[in-house]
Amino acid sequence: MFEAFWYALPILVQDIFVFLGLLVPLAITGIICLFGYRVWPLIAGLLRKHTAISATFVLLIATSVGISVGLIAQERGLREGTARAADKFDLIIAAPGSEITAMLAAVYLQPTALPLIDGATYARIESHELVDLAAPLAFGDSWEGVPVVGTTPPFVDHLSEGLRAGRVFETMEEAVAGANTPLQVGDVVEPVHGDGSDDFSEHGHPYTIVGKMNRTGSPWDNAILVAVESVWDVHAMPTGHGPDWDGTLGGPFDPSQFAGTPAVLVRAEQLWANYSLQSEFNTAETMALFPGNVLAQLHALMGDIRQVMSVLAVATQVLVAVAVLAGLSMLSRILARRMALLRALGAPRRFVFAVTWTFATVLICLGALLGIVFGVIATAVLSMVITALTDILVQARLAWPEMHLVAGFVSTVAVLSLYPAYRASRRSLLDDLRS
Amino acid sequence: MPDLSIENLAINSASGRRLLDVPRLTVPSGGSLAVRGPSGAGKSTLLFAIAGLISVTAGQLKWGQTDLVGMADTARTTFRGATFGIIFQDHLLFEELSAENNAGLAALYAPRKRRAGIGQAARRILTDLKVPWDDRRNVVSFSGGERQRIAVARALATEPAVILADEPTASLDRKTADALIGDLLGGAKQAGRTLIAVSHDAALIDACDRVLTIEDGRVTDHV
Ligand SMILES: Nc1ncnc2c1ncn2[C@@H]1O[C@H](COP(=O)(O)OP(=O)(O)OP(=O)(O)O)[C@@H](O)[C@H]1O
Ligand SMILES: [Mg+2]
Repeated sequence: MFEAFWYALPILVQDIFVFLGLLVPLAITGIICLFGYRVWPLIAGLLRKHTAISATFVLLIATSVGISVGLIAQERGLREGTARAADKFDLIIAAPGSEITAMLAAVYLQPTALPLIDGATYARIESHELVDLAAPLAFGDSWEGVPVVGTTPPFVDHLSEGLRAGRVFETMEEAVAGANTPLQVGDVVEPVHGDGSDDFSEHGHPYTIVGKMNRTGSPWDNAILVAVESVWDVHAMPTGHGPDWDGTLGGPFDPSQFAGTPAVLVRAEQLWANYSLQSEFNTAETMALFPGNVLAQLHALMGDIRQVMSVLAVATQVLVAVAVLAGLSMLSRILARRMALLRALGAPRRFVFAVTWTFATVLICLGALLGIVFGVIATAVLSMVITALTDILVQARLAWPEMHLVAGFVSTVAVLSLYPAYRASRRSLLDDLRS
Repeated sequence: MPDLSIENLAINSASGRRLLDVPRLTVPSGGSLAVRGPSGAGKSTLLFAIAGLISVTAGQLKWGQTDLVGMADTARTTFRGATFGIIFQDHLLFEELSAENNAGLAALYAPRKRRAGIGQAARRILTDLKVPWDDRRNVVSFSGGERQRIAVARALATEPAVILADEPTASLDRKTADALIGDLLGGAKQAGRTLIAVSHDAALIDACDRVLTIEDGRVTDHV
């Protein structure tokens, strides 16, 4: 009955309920503590009086909360970013081997040596009735660390959905640059073999940049795309076309002239067709994989790490909370004289308790709020850094899971603060009054 | 209104040293008593004992039927809040609060229906005592004499049955001190309020019904 009601609620409403639910212990403790008392003038006074100590506490809590929520948001952002980067890669066909290696190479352009798919196989893929787009992805060369990938003009259209500037390459001497490369239309680049690190060998084949792609949020933003024919050509291999080729780039290729490609991107308009293609090309000679699925497996694997991470995050918070409580006991010693005075004047024990608890809880709440601000900043900075380092567009934002963590933290520490408050209300009166 | 009666009161320090011996003392409800004696004699100690702020080593200390000696701490605090207005020797104000909030401090924890009354009384007494409280600044910036009067206002604001005052005129000039003595005693007479004041101030001592002299922890005049 309740479950049915709960699952019928929109996710946002559920999140808000969970958030509020986590704050219930705080609210109940607060109501019980403060009922019948006006503590705020004293609290405001104490905050003013002990600004430096209070600020230290708030900063300590804020930093810990900020780091925790920042990391959790970042991890989610990274997952979303890697998934988004794989969006355009419906189905990849490569020679049998590691799916993860193939995915890393084809989608994230990580340099790896993959075995090649031959002309006959490629022709079968290309001519398959369900295939709407097939494109070879021939990587291996680079220019100043920027990968150079040989492919076909339709793939450029598919990846970039129209160009930001210029046009798609039309000859073997032309190239299209990714959005994050420092290249402009008209620039000339001369790639080298491999990633340019070890056996540095120029091919002596310059390309003129004739177009620039839109931002895709993937490592392809930092790549140069050229005609696959030219990649074969500079490696002194057949160009994939027979002697009567008119120079039009792209397929269909002549199987006997096809030098091989490490990976083929395949796309079918229909979802079911993709599945059908995958099972058809998962054979002894080829491996067909959905990068999205491989990624999901990876993420599932990382899910365990994520759990470890959130346990660690909670553990850190608890440690900080313990430190905070130790600090609060110190604080209650600082407040002791004032609390003794209150008791000497006839204020009930519960009032002293309420003032101490409220003071602690105000610091914790301020710390948590500032921590969220810190988390937002940390998230933005980390996202920028990761995006710059990997070219995978990471747009991490704080979301409800982090808010839940913060709410749980605040409630827990607020309840734990009952102890130092209790201690403060039990202190010997005269010692404190006369000290 | 309770009378104070003390019988063979003895107070030791934590280390066991005898701080105070009072064989017998009674103060009738509405009466006034001045306590005098040299510095370090034990005057404040007596006042603290009378207020139930320190534990009594031996003897009896009763306010009417209420025996402060055998009382649990919580009950004593409640009794103190309900019965006494205490003026401490070193004022013990909340530096970070305004004069008004200091004088009306009890409103922070008093039952809701008494709050407004305490606040009004605090403001009225501050005005009577000529404390400039309107500008809401913290009492840190108030002069010694002004603080003393704020402490007095705090003690009077709850309209207690008993005022316990430790050197209430110490930081005041003659004229202000006389005005305060008039307020403390005149108000006491009017409201039937008991006043027990530690003082060196001859004017205050003379104005009280009775005087108790303490020297080196002993009562040296005979009642
Ligand atoms: N908790 C305590 N432990 C030990 N000695 C104490 C304690 N409280 C007070 N004394 C001592 O008892 C004596 C009386 O102290 P008290 O404060 O009552 O003096 P007083 O008469 O009020 O002096 P003054 O006029 O200077 O205020 C002093 O010698 C003081 O040092
Ligand atoms: Mg004294």
